[in-house]
Amino acid sequence: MTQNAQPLFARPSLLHKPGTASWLIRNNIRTRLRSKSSASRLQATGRNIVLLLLLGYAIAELGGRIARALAVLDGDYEYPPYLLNAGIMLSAFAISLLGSSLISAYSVFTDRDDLDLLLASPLPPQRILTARLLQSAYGAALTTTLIGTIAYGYSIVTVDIRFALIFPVLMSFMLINLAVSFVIARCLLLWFGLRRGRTIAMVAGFVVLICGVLVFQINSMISSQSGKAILAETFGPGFEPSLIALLTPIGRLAFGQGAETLVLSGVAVAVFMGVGAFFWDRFAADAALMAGQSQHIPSGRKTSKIKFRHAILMATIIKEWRSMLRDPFVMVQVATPLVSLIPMAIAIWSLNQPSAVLKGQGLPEGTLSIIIGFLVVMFGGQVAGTLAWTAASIEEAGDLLLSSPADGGKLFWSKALATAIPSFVFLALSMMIIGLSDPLAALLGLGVGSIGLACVGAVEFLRPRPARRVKMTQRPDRSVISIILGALFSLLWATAAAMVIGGQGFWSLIPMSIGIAALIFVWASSPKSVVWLARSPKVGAAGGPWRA
Amino acid sequence: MSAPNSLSALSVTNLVKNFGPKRAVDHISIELAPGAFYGLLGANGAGKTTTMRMIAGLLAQDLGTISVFGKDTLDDPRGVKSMVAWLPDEPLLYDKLTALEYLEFVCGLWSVDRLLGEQRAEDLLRWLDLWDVRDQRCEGFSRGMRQKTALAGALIHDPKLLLLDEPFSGLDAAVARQVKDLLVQKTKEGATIILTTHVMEIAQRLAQTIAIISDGRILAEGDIEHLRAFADMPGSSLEDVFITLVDRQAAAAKAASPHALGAGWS
Repeated sequence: MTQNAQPLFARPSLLHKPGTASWLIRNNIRTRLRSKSSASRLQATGRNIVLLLLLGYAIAELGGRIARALAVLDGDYEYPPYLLNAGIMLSAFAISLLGSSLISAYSVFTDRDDLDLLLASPLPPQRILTARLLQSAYGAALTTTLIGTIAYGYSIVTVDIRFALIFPVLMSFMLINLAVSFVIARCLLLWFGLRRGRTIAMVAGFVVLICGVLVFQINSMISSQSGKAILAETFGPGFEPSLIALLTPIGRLAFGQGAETLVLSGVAVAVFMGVGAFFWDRFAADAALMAGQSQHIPSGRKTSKIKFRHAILMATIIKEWRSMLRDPFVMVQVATPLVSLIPMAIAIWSLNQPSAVLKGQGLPEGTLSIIIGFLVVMFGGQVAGTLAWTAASIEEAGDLLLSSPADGGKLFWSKALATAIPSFVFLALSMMIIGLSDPLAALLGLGVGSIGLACVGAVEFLRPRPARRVKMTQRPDRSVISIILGALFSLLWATAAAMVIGGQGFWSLIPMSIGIAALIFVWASSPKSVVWLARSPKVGAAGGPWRA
Repeated sequence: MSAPNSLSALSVTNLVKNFGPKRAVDHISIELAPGAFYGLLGANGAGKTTTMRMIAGLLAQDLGTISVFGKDTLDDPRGVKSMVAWLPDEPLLYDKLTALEYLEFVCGLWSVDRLLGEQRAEDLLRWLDLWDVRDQRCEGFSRGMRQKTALAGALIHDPKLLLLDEPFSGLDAAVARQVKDLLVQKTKEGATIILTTHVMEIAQRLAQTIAIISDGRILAEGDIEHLRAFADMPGSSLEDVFITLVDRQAAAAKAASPHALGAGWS
């Protein structure tokens, strides 16, 4: 070793002294950031932006309700009383937040990536726990800061510091929310074991999140007696009063009544620390459970008789379906676009009610079918894309398939069918609704929609991105180009389907032609060295497995 | 280039594989009779796995020929694959499938008769002590259970040639004994086995022929006595013979770029 060489390790900073909780957090954040590909980082950023927009939208809407309720109490607002309504809205919002934070709390609390290494080191287990709790708090602070940006911006525009002072209040709510999430996550771990607990946390978190959103929206529509209520009041003339009204009471709380803010913050910190203290002495046992040293054994597991299916086609389809159905992450991704249809369906339904028509807010005849057709193909495309991605890019035993004498074509088509059948069933069932009033339009829509879903699926098979199922929850490896292309195809074919249903068959040829041309372009530009099976970079070479 | 011997279980002739500028396999030739147990020893990156992957049909060779029971891997890859089982060092199972469902899928891949597959699955699962966990998903299995499940998958289609890459890594002594017994049993039934391992004791005990591979080339091949004679180390252990031969091969390269431990090591 040369004498004047640079030191191999970075000099420890005062903030991140080796062995401290902050040092552990820094290491964890750094490794997580570096483990993500640029595409998935972009994806994550995009997701965060969408999430923030949704949150901003929800906050603005919620703010209007709360503001009116509070203003009515003050007697200086002309809106009708909304106190109960505001309470329901606030609860719905809190429920949604709890659902989303439960998923992340379980993931952080039970993270096994470096657990063995950390437990093997002389660090006390409690410090690992502290780092995990603080890391979540850091994430919550980051989210709060991002949400608070709206307030900061408004504070600057209006030169009113009250709006910027909502941070401690929001952060307090976030901390309490986190503490509750961690308690539930630990209960799930203890009651159901690591894997089943994770499944339950993800499914329950997702269901709770969606329930909150649904309650929020349905209540909004019922209370306003108009399907257009949300859009009209959020982005219409009511938007600014809503925003001000949301922020003012909270700002007032922070600025005008500092003692209450202080108490709220103190309570939040105390609750969070209380949860930490409760977990403190129990973490070593919890970690043993996570590491599998004391495996949770589910009771009453049934045993089955051996019954094999012979055909490779069916065997592979069944294998793919089993893998999808048993993977909560995939199911959540599939369920999201489907569940997203529900509020839209309610909105469309309400606009088609006689009362809405009488008020002049109804839809023209036939429009309902067109909208349903468009939405079904659009969202069905997202489902088809997700399923195709999991089948095309996630192959856990690629070596097994490649070393087998099974025909590559059969394997390919069985994977394609495994993804196409559920999407097609969804499309067909949805089109039956249109078929009740116009069977021919439904049939045409089914045909065009089916081609659309096949195109979206084909993108994923033409541009596979090898990914590991076990890492999906932490590092979705889906190609961002495939996501964009899938959305584009969904839009094009949804437009075509809507036009066909609306009787504009000739004009629908335009989006269809663009869609087919785009697919040909995708096929021509797809990387030929990579085929649909992951982990097989050499497949397709002379003498390779499928080119006999 | 010699024509493959149709009586051979495996005939590999002048096999070459390059990865960019690096030559991973450098003119390797292997000839195995049916029922042979062949051990391939080498350091990490010596070319063992690449050789095995080419025989299994996962990689195409740049030069040379591979023939399994008279069938060429390039001319009839599916015919060859129907006789071969490949078990990689990291058993790649389907986490969301149960052990039984995994075996069912493997039977589908190799077109094993349904009733025969069910019978073999039961036999293998019972033999490998996996019967009681047959309905549990592979994601919950320990390393040893995963390895045994993958081994059951490799054996369920009754292959004539078994390619096993580090099959004993991570297995405890009891499980390793089970697997060893099973492999010996398979060779007695006529199966040919190629095994890579870092554990000299396993190679010495199981393999009739041992090849020492380094930098993509086979340095020596034969039974233990032959290897001792080749290294001029009578009475030495296989480990000593292996290290000596590999060291001789790498001596020149090591001399060119020495990496001594620094003063931090006491």
